Amino acid sequence: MGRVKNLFNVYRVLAILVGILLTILVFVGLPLKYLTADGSSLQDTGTTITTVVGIAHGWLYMAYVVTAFFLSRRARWSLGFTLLALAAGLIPILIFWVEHRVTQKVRAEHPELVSSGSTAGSV
Amino acid sequence: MPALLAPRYWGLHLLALVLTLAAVGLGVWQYDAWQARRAAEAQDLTLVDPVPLTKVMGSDAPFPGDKVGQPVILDGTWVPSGTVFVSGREHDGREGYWVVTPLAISGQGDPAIPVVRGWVDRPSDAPRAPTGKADLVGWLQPPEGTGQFDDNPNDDVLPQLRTADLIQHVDQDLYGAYAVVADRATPGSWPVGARATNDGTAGLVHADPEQMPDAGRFTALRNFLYAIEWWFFAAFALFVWVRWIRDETARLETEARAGEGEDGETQATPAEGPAGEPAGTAADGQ
Repeated sequence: MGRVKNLFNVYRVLAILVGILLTILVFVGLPLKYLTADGSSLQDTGTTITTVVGIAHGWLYMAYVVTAFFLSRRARWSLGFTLLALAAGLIPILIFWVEHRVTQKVRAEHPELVSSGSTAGSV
Repeated sequence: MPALLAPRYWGLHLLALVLTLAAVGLGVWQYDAWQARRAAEAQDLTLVDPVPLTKVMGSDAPFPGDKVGQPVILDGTWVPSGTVFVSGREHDGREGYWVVTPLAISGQGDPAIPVVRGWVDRPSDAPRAPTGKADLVGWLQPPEGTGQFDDNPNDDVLPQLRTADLIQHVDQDLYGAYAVVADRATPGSWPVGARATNDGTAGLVHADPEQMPDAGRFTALRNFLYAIEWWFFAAFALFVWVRWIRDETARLETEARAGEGEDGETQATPAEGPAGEPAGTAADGQ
């Protein structure tokens, strides 16, 4: 049972990390890379951010997909909601809302998946 | 198992197949891009005939990605006042400086390209920068820039050959590239070595080509990592598909057995069961 509770917590951590990285990538890295003057130092910074954050997001998203899938099986989500949760890691901002929905949903329908010591009651 | 080949499951099978194949294909595409980049870098452009710089790129054009290391003929006028030193360059295991002087192509005031004339231990060891006309062969390199800061922008020592920093040291435009003076070229009457005119290398150690940072290694690495990610997703899609087939088969069997047990009671099961099940789970979707 402890492993199951961990799954939910791991999901939340990964979702938030993936969301933050994607936000930086889309709202900071890409605009700097493509909307600034060619060869400027701002553009260099944008290129660096895009590369580093892009790679990090890619690998974290892999972990996110696996975690979200196993959580979806445990919590018996519908196919539609599962696909939404998986795809959310690729759509900026959406993942924060999905993480919120997942948390509500798991709390309401599968309280046994939520560890008692969870401190995120405010979310 | 044959039950899962029923037409109402075709959509799901098709989706799984498309997702798997798409992920495999995207992985192959990234892998090819990685290989192509590496091949382009491995190709020794120093064995290509030199061409005039203006044939390769214009002064305000972006760096042509496939021309890293291309030997170019630089026929122009030195801008000695724009000489800078680039720190952190190794030679025989010792850290020193690149000596860089812009060369205006071709008259005073025209756009200039920074030329790495050679290497020194300390900036004070460098001979005076050359003046006047020059005609030489250089290996073309993309400007550097990994976000390293110049901690003292007022002196003539830079951490990197970056156009944005170099532009502070000259009055004219700069090419989005730099060149390293070549000490060899393909056979022919190129202005290289002793045949070069006023190439500014006297008193300097030649800057070795292997010290040149190769362009796009990180980008190429990114392509490789993306390829792995895509294949991982392909395998995962396959895994989900197989698992779904297994679970669905088990469910259908259980249903069939339950149907037999209760006999006439649940005649509607085959028609209603599959439709009723997703509806039940979809309800908690939203």
